[in-house]
Amino acid sequence: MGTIFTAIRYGSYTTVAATLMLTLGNQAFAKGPAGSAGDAVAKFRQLGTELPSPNLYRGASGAPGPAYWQQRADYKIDLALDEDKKLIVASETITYTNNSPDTLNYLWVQLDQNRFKDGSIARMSETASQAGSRRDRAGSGDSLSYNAMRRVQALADTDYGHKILSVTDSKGNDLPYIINDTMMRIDLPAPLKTETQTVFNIDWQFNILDEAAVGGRGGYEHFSENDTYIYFLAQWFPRMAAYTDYTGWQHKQFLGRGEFALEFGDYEVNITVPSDHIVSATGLLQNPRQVLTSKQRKRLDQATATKQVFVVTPKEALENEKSRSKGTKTWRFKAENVRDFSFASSRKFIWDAMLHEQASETMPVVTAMSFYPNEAEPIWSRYSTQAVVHTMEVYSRFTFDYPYPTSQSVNTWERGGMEYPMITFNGYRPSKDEKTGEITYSRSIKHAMIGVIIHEVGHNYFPMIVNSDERQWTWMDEGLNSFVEYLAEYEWDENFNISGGQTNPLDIIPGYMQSDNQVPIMTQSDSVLQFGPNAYSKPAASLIVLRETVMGRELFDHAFKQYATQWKFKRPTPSDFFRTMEDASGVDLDWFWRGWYFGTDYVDVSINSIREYQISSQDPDQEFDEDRAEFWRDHPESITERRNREEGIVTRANRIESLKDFYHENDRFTVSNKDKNKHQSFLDDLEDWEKAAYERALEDGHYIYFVDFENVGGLITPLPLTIHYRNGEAENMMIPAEIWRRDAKFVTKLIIREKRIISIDVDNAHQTADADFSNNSFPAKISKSRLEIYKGSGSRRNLMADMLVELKSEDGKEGGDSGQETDKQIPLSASDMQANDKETENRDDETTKNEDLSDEEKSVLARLLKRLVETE
Amino acid sequence: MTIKLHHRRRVLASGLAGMAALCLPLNVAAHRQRRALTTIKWNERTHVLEITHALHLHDAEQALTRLGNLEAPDLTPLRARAQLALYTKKHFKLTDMDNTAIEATILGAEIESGYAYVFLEAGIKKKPSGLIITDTILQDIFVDQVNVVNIDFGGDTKTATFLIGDKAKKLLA
Repeated sequence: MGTIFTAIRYGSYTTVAATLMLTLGNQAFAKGPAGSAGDAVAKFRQLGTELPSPNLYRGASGAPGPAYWQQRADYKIDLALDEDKKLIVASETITYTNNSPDTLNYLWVQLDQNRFKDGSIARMSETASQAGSRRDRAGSGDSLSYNAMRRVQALADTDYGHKILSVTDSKGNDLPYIINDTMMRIDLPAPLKTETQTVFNIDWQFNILDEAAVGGRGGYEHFSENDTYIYFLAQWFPRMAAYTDYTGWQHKQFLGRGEFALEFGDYEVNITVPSDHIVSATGLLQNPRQVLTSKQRKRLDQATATKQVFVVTPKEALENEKSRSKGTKTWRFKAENVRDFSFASSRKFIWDAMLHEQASETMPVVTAMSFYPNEAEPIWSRYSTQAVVHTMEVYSRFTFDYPYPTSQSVNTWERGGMEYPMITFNGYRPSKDEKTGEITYSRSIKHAMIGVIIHEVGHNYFPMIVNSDERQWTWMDEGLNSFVEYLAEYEWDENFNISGGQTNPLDIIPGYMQSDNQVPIMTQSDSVLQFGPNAYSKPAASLIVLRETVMGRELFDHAFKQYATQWKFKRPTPSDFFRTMEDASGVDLDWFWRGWYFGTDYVDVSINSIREYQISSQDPDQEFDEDRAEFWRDHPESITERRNREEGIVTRANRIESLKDFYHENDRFTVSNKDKNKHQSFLDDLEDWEKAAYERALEDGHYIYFVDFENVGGLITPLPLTIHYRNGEAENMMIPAEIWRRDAKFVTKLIIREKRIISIDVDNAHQTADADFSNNSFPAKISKSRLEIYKGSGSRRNLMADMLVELKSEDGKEGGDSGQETDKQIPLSASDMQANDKETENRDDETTKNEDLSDEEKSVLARLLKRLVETE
Repeated sequence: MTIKLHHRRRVLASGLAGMAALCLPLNVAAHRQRRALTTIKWNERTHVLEITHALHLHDAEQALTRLGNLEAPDLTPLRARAQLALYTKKHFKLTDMDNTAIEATILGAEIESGYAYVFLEAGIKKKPSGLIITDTILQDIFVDQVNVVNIDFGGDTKTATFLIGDKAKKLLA
């Protein structure tokens, strides 16, 4: 039962009587027990014990549960910045609200500056390379960089770390406390019950870090040329550690990499600084009349959504930094519902502002501002505030309207960036040519700067508002933020990068994903070696795949927005993200999270073969002639016979009549009555429904294809196919990842079409993070690596070759590199075969400015051509 | 055990105005790790070892400028890219399992979207059973530079990671 088609034709041979059972699905079974290496369905198992059980705080749908709770911490802080001593003296009152169902006997407070204290775990556990020096296991060749030496000296000269002066309750009585490295435990005189508040005070001071020497995300930057400073303070005040439903107190020590877990609350901060300083801080300035001139206030009022204004002009800032005031001023800031507070202060600051308008009832206007020294010009006044506004525009589309009244970008250091609510510290400055004094900046500096501002401002969304635990899971903010950052960069300008097209992150990440020393994304950050790809680019790449390939934009954008809005001002964990994305979209994603986040496989799909069939009519009158033609195609006459024929030799049997018989006239492909009878009985044996299906299939005349795929890399992926037909047309077809659900290694897909297929490609658009495109087409296409493409670019190679020769002759020292640096090549142009590879052409044009050759390059080319002509 | 000071005069002589913070140590909120990826592929068809270095463009520009190899931190000009190629060749050594040096020739260098690529190749008679690699690219400027080398000889990819101070590492095919 069940054989519908009893005979099928395959390209080069005929199986007349063969029966073939066409199975329309895969009947592969798991080849090993569950959990074993041979378990073929392991990759599709639903995530079970890998995720914590849903509960009343965090539901199975990924949303906060009915009993979700989080603590609250409000701060009132007074501080003074002593410029001469590089010291901050401060006092704070913390109002801590216990919304948990638990009774707390003690509170934990974070003292992040203690990371730099003598004897801290962070410092004591540093390896030599982390401390900035080289180590040589053999013993000789150990060396100490100037940088490391400076760091050692800075740490020796100054006592870093929070110096706690007093810890008291609201009445002023001392509270008992103990400091464990970067965490302080305050023992409460009476247990703090659920739904109650407690108030306590801390007085402290600390030496401001020489950030360039020591590191630390906050401190001061010293400009030695004119002895001026920028102060930028972060992690500067003792603040509550997070108390959570999933780990109790989050007080894993601050070692420098795993960042911060914090509570939301309101802040009132009064900052006393030298009176000629300009201060940028989290929150809204409460006393502009006291600290700003009327001219500055007026200018601020003139900022609009289309007009960026200077509140302090570059010239004014330059004047300002020439002297030092003696007096002080106090800047009062208020911030609502934030998880942290940072500020920057300097007499060097240029200050500009622009408005961002959004369709929000609660926050229709946001003031975007930038603060930067003259050393950052001209790129900062041109790009920074615009980048801030752009970030809010794009991010808000994917998440929610920016809920805070201001967003600021401050230039506090040379490279990198760091994020705080409403304020970000960002790097990158142009450079000054030593000889000419000209200020220049390369395109890469510009894009690095815009990119870092987008990234840091983007962090306001993740984790400042969608408040994930950075100490535990770096990727939840860095990965998600990097992903939206790419989207914002794609929308900045088409020429965002030098090439004229954005590099596809999915082409870059496979390099990391193939390396054999990876750890899964779901690994605590202090232990991760290849930190950048692990926490930033791999999760970001996975989300691009999720959005563009697995779910599609409509489903993804809706689910992502659902996640962001339901966890706005709350603290999500990874399972909340995983569950929400599934719950809101209806797409099963367990295989996806399992593969990308819990595993270390990579994507590499191979299309191994395509076999073509057609339904055979089994009618000898129709089939036999074709069979004969096929036979002779596969068995060409021998060369002897052919030449005999060409010479005109006639065989004996053809010359003498009496030798001819039945067999002479007929070959095995001649139709006999026996053949005809066989055909008829075959038809008679079919059931009516079988006959109907058969005749319909014959009439349709479709082509049947069995396509074999192999999952070489291990990471399950959907298969975006491009089917090419013989008539020149092409068709795109997306095979969902579920095709791998019974066998994660090999699958065969059945495709039936009216038109004949000539070839099939997998992932033409490079949308799956496939690591190797040489096995993505059948018949195989030559897929070139970047190196091979470069190699094929004759003129570029020769220009480089000439340049290397030139450099060598100028600078005899480069010898030691023996002989010729590179082989010169005769220029070739691509053949037809290579021209088929669209990639080759596009990439050739995209890389390295193919604008007009410089005069130098033209002359090199001219010389080369001349040489070629001369040697002919 | 003598401790030698590494003579990096250019680091202290801050000739580039405005760049007050030079070698940032690892503990800064480096929102992007300094990392380079080198891929070594054995091309069975052409019997050639193909080497591709991928560096972050910004890091390469900064480092080579500080070393004096570039006049300005800009790798767009051909000359600058040639300098980059020479630099990476100097800082990347390969030998086979018998410690015979494998000489690579430079094919060239290109930049694309925030990355700088340097291409080299070495023609050797047959597929090596393994490689001994020394990789110090950019580690003379950045103490936190992490260099990853992936070798692909047709089987599984093998990886070696180089932190500052690491010596030669063996990778079997």
